[in-house]
Parts: sequence; structure tokens; C-alpha cells
Amino acid sequence: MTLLMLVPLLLSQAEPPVDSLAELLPPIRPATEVQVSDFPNDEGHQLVVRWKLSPDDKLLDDYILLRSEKGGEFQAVAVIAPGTDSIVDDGGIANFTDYAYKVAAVRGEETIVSDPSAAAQAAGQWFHIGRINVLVAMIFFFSLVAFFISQAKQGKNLFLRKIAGLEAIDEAVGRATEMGRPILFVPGLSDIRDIATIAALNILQGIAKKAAQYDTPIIVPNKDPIVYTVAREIVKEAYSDAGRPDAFNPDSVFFVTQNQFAYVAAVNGIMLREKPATNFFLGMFYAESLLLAETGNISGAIQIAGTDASAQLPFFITACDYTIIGEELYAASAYLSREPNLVGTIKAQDWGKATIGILLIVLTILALFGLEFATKIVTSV
Amino acid sequence: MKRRIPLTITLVLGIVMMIQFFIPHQFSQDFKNTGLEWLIVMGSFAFIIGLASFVTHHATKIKHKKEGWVYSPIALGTLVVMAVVGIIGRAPNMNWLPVTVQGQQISVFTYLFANFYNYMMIPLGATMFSVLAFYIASAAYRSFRAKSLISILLLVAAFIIMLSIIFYNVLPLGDFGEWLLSVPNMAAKRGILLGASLGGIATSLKIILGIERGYIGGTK
Amino acid sequence: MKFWEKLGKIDRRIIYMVLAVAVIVPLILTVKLPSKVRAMPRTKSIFDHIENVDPNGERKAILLSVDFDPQTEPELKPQLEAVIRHAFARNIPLMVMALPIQGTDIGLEVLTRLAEEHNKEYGIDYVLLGWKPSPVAVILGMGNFIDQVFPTDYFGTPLSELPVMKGIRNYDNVGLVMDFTGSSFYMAWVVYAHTPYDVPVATGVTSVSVADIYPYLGSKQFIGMLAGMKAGAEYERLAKDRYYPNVVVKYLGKDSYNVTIEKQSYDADSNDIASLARRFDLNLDELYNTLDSQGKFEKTLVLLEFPDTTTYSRDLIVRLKGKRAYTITLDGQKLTVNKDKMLAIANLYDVSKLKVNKLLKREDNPQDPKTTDVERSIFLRGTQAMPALSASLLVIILFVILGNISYFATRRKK
Repeated sequence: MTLLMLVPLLLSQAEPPVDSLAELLPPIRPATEVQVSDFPNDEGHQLVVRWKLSPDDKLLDDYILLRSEKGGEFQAVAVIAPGTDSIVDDGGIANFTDYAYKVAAVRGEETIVSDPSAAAQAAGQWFHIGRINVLVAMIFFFSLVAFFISQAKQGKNLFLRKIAGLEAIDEAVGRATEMGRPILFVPGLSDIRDIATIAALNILQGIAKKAAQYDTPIIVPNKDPIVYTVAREIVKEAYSDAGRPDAFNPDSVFFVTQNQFAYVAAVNGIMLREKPATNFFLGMFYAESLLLAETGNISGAIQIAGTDASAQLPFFITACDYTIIGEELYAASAYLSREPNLVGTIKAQDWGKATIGILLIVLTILALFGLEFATKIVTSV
Repeated sequence: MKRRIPLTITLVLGIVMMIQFFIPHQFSQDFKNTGLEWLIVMGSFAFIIGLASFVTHHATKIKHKKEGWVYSPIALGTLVVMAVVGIIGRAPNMNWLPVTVQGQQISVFTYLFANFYNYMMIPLGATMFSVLAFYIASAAYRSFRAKSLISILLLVAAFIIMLSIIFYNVLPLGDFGEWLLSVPNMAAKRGILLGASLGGIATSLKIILGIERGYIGGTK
Repeated sequence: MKFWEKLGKIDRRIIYMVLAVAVIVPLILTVKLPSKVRAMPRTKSIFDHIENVDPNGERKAILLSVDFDPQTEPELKPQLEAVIRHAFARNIPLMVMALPIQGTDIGLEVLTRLAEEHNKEYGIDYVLLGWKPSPVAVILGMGNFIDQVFPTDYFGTPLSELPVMKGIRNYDNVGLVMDFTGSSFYMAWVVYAHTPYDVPVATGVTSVSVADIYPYLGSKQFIGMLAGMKAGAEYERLAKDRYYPNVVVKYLGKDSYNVTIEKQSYDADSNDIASLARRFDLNLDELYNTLDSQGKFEKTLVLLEFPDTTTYSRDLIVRLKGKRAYTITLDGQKLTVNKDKMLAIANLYDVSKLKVNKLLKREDNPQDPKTTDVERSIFLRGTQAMPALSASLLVIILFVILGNISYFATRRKK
């Protein structure tokens, strides 16, 4: 009887004392199925490691990624938060070298390591597979351009709608000549890499030539030194094209400053002092658009603005006589010269836009029916 | 000849960069990065040309005593002062002519640069920017006239947006303003964006192929 | 007839003058706060996102990028301050960085000032990462590891040594990236942070860019947008109404102001004083000396006078830092105490019983303050400037209407 009573007492004594709660928990299980592969579409030096989360993922503090180079010893390369089942390893990976990985699951002092993965190598690729869609679109668009240029060269009449702002350029230059006052041309505040700047410089060429023919001074202040160099060359060329190279005043095209508002102050000063009869604001503009256009309005000049910065369009529309909107600016050189090569590209552009429009409608309809894979093909890069 | 060389460089590099976009290989990435570095270096050299232009422009103005020439010596003087103060004052570990500012020893050049920047550049820029508020008012007054159906629409939309900012608490007004921005405005924006992007691609193509050559002077 | 024609040809200088008056007058006069503010959905969605940024108590940080320069400060600073206040009020780890170099100075100034207001400590509650060149590389790199791009903070301390960065490694641990910009930096955050790393991104922009952002709001690439000063004012109110409804809003424009705290019937015994002393770690000898022998505050009238410590000039703040002193008049006796003691005294009184003079305003329906660690009064930059913005818009509307009246009147005559 007394013995029976002793049994539970003995049993309880047999339990070892516990220091912490962690020791009461069952041991953690490792991550499994560690796989490594080359990272696709890159220059190499990157490997993707994937694994199946430990069943005890929620209890873990961390995973530690271990790497072995050429079958050597495994070394820790990264600490990864629980819940993550893949990582791109780009830390000092050499191309064409074998790497194997293990993933260690960590909880407190406890660590359990997975089986190692098979070895894999990193390598650079010669073609970005994800960009096939871009290639297809590019080839399609290039073919359109080639087709329409050939059409234009064969003498087919390609219709261009009337663009009031561009029509008005001649009149504006003529007005300056009549009044005997200069023309001011601002080629935007961006650099030469901006397409809007190039489009503006294309227009400058025609304006400068007319100014040279009529012997009307032209003032071109610049914010970017490279744009300044190009603008100066264009105006100089225009004067020699017009047969009056000696009439070119090298001081008429100049660099002002790279500071946005200091530039505005300088140009506004020119407008109020020299009182140009015609102001052109063409290219890329930012917050200064209205500061320029409104000062021009105060000075009583006729003003033609053109930009693809849509946020600035309302300012130009309110303060200028004519505004060339968005892509009309890019079309300017074709519109003014009517050269078949240039007009052809405008047509191609329109057909490209129509294609995108149709594609958008088709993809929207497909997506409505749950066929979103089509959208993914088109949009992935 | 003068035109052919730049056009050839544009054509070759344009096509090479296009191909580069599709090649992720190390070789192609290195090529691209070197190109970008060249661009930065060339940009710095262009600045010297800009500087030369600035100096000659103002020197001519002073020489011929053109209208407003008195500002030219000021511009040239500021250029020199700011450049000296900036180059010396922003150099690392610079401690020439130390002064004590708020218990710290700094070079007088560093101190001057900070003060020129904080108390001259910034207020001057901010002043130019804030003139915008006045210009918006006068431009709106002058040109917002309900002359045609389109301008009436524009006027009404502008009123609704402005009033919805002031009286957003008034229910239908605030929500209608929000609707104008998030539906018709967004649609128009996307349209312009699409058109401009395609126009941009077409223009780039014209430049690469040498069809567009106005920017280097002459269409011939 | 002449009158109508004249109405259409008002001299622009008159327009400038009227506009200037319309902007300056509301800035000087104190305009009563509306009792309720309805925030625009695009503002509210950012507020709601930050409210739920840490579901299940998961530790997630907020990353703010100060991508503007002083020229666009008036519009963007109220937004930045409001979001920082919200993060501080909710005890969310806060990282602040800048893509253009000028942004770091602005970030430092705002953080220092608001941290003091909220009793937050550098390195524990927030960190200034600083600036690194090449925005695209910075944004992409932080998706990998933040400390790869910023091995140290702005002051050169390794990030690993800062408690605030514990467990915050990359965008996975960031609940919201928000960029404040007057140019087009927001595009970089959409393209290089949201698209590849799927981190929620929001933006704060100037009013002029608002229309440009809508395509990205529509496609849910931005979870929300703060548009101009109006949004700053809205957000300030959202945070204030939620977290410190009883805190007094103070206004700019006066060098100093008086706060009169009237104690109605409050018995503060020595236990209260002792507990306060413990809480604020103060030596309250001076305070005791001015009280009556039983240590009671009965029928005490406290007059607090303190210098205006908020000002637009960031340098002034730095100069004043550490030198703030408040003169308190207790029963006619003047004494100068520091901020902590001032807080302690103010704490003795129920804040809802604050009686303030004309310059300050008391909330009508005081509830329990959600956070008591905030200074007794705060300056809301956007809220203060909002009346001026409204007035200027009204002036523009008025002139446009005048112009149109003249247009139609003269046309009819013809």
C-alpha cells in the first residue's frame, strides 16, 4: 500500500528539471528540397536558391544560407527571415564554378541543417528571353516605318492634319521682321538626351534659316552646355545655308546657367529689356513654364510654345498664342519640311498607335473572361 | 563629311545599344556601363564650353556697354566668388582659416558656402518660384473666357476643382472634383502618354537612322 | 459700357495686390479650425495604410524619402511632418533618406524637431539614413539589403548598432515607402521599388503634378497620394484627431504667447508630486518652494509664458535647441523651468481644462488622449496655411468671374 503511493512520487522525481520553455518544445525540423539554379537573363554572378520551408517555420528565428564552392567547406553567406523560401545569391559568385547550398533552420541555440543541394553554376546569357515581346513590337514598328517611307518615296500623298501652332511659325517670324525686333528661342530646360529637346532643335533650324533670310536677330539662351553647343552650331549652319554666314552673331546663342530659376530670371530679363517680337518656348519645361510665358505676355510678344510635359500644357495654353501639344512637337520637322522620309514615320507612328489601341481593347476583353495570360505575355519585361 | 561622321556614329551606336538591350551577358553590361561613364565625362567637358560662353557673353556686353551691362560684372564676380568658396569650402578635410560656429571649428570657406547657399540661393529661387502664384492669377483672369463650348467645359472643370479644394467637406462637390481627376483627367493623361511615348520611339528611330538630321544643322 | 470694359481690363498689378493681401491676411489672423475634416480618399488611403501597417503586431518600418529641395518646401513639408507625426504617434520604426542631396538637411531638421515634440529617441525610434548618389542603384539595392546601400546612418553609426533597425533588412520589412517630391522621383520608386519588390509605395507631390499621378493611382501602383498643401493639412488633422485630440494647436506669427491654466478644484498631495517626480525624473525642490506648506495646488492660477519655439527658420531651431526655458508664474512668483518641468506642471492639470487666450484654441469635445507623450501644443504647418490657400483660390475664381462678366456684357452691347 505504501509502495503504491510511492510510485507517482518516484515518477515525478524521474522527470529532469527544465531550465527553459524551449526545452519543453519538440526539436525543430529542417528545410528540405534545397535546389539551386542559374539566375536567368543576367550577366552571370547570380544563383537562385529555393527550398521547401521547414514544417516548424513559424517557430524559427532565422534561416541561414550555407554555401560551398567547388565541393569545399560550407560557409554561412546570408541570414534569411522565416517564411522566405528562395533567395538570389549574388555575393562573390564566380561564373562557371560549382556551388552547392544548405539551409540551416535556427531557433535560439538550436540549429538543424538541411541536406545539401546538387551543385550548379552561374553563367551569363546572350539573349534576354523575357524581352522577346519587346523585340517583336520593335520589328513590327520598324517594318511599319520602312513601309510608309517607301510609300512616301513612291509619291503617295500622305495626309497630315493641320497643326495651327506649326502653321503660325512663319507668321511669327514675319512679325518680328516687320517690327524690326529680335526673335527669342528657348530650347527647353532639359538636356540633349530628351527627345523634346531634339525636336525643339529641329524646329530651331528652320526658324534660324528664316531669321537669317530676313535679317532678323535671333536670341537663343541655353540652360544646358551641350544643348548650347548644338544650338550654336545649328544657328551658324542656318546662316550659311541662307547664304549669309557673315551675318551670324556668335553672341546670340549663349549659355546662361544650370540653375532653373536663375535661368528663368535671366530669360525674363532679356524679354523685358530687348522686347523680342516673337517668343518660342519649345522642348521640355517644368515649373518655370508660366513664369516665362506670362512675362512674354507682359512684354507683348507673340508666343508659340510646345512641350510634351503634359503638366505644363495648361500654363502654355493660357499664356501663349499657339501651343504645340505633346507629339505634335515630334511631328514638327516632318510637318515643316514635308520630306517623304519624315512624313512616312509620322504615318507609321499613327498606325502603331492604332495597333496599341486595338491590342488594349482585345486584352481587356480577354482579361474580362479571365484570360490574363495574354496581358502577361505583352507586359512582361 | 562634317555631317557624315556624327551621323555614322549615331547610326552605329544606336543600333549597337538597341542590340545591347537584348543581351544580358557581362560583356554587354560592361559596354553599356562604359558608355554611361563616357557620357558623364563628356558632360563635364561640355561645362567648360558653357563657362567659356558665359564669360564671353558678359565680356561682350561690358565691352559694348549694352543695355543692362552693369549686371554683367556682378554675374562674373559672383561666378568667381562662388566657385572659389565652393571648390575650397567643399573639399574634404578642409580647415583653412578656421572660424568657430556653434562651438564647432570649420573653415571660413565652408561657412561662407553654406551661408551663400542657404541665405542667397535658396531665398532667390523660392522668390522666383512664388511669383508663379501671381502669374497664375493674372493669366487665369486674362484667358479663362467662356468663348466656346470647349472653353466653357474647361472653365467649369477648373471651378469645380478649385472649389472642391476649398470646400471638400461639402459632399457632392468634393466627390465630383475627385471624379473629374480620377476619370476624365486620367483617361486624357493616358492618351497623351501613349501618343508621346510612341512619338518618342519614332523620333529616336528617325535620329538613329539619320532620317532626322535637323539637330546637327541642315536636312541635306 | 465703359465700366464693363474696364472690368475686363483690370491692371495685373491690382490682381497681384489683391492676391498678396488674400494670402498674407489669413496667415496673420488666426482662423478657427473646422470641427471636422473630411479627407480626400487618396489622402485617407495613406492614413489607413499606416494605421494597419503592422498587422498581428509584426514589426514593419516606414521608409520616407525626402526628394525635394527648399524651393518646394512650403507645399511638401506639411505632408512630411504630418506623416512623421503619424508614424511617431503609432511607434512605427521610421527610416528617412533622400535621393537629392538637399533632402537630407530638410529631413534632419524635421526629424529633430518632431522627435523632441514626441519624446522619440534617435536610433531607437527613428534613423536618418542620409543620401547616396545614383537614385536607381539606391532604390534597387535597398530591395536586397538596406545596409548594403547605407552601411552607416547619416552620422556614421553602423546600422547594425541601431536598435531601430533590428529585424529590418529590406523592403520585406517595410510596410510603406513614401516619397515626397517636387519633380519626378516618384516614377523611380514605382519602377524600381514597387514593381520588382512589391512593396507598397505612396507619394506626396506638389499640386501642379497631381494630374500626372492619377494614372498610377488608377493602376494601384501608388496606394495613395498627398497632393499639395491641402493634403498636408488634411493629414495633420487625421493624425491629430486620432492620436492627440486634446493637444492645443499653436499658431505662427507672435513672438510669445500666454497660456493660462486655471485649476478648479484639484488637490495635489505629496504623493502626486512624488509620482510626478519619479515619472519625469525631476528634482522638484524649486516647485515645492513655491507651493504652500501642505503642498496643495488649490485655487492656484498658473500662468505659463514661453517663447515661440516654432519658426520657419531651421537655424533658429538649432540655436534654440537645449536652451529652451519657460517662465512660469505661480501665485505671482516667477520662476524659470525647463521643458520637462513645464510638462510636469501641465500634466498636473487636466488638459481639457486648459483655458487659453485668443491665440490658442481648445478642442470642444475632449476625449482621452491616445498618446500622452506629446508636447502640450503643436504647430500644424499645413493647417495654418490652408486658409491662405483657400483665400487665394477664391481670389482667382473671383477674377475669372469678373473677366467673364465683362466679356459677356461687352459682347451683348456689340
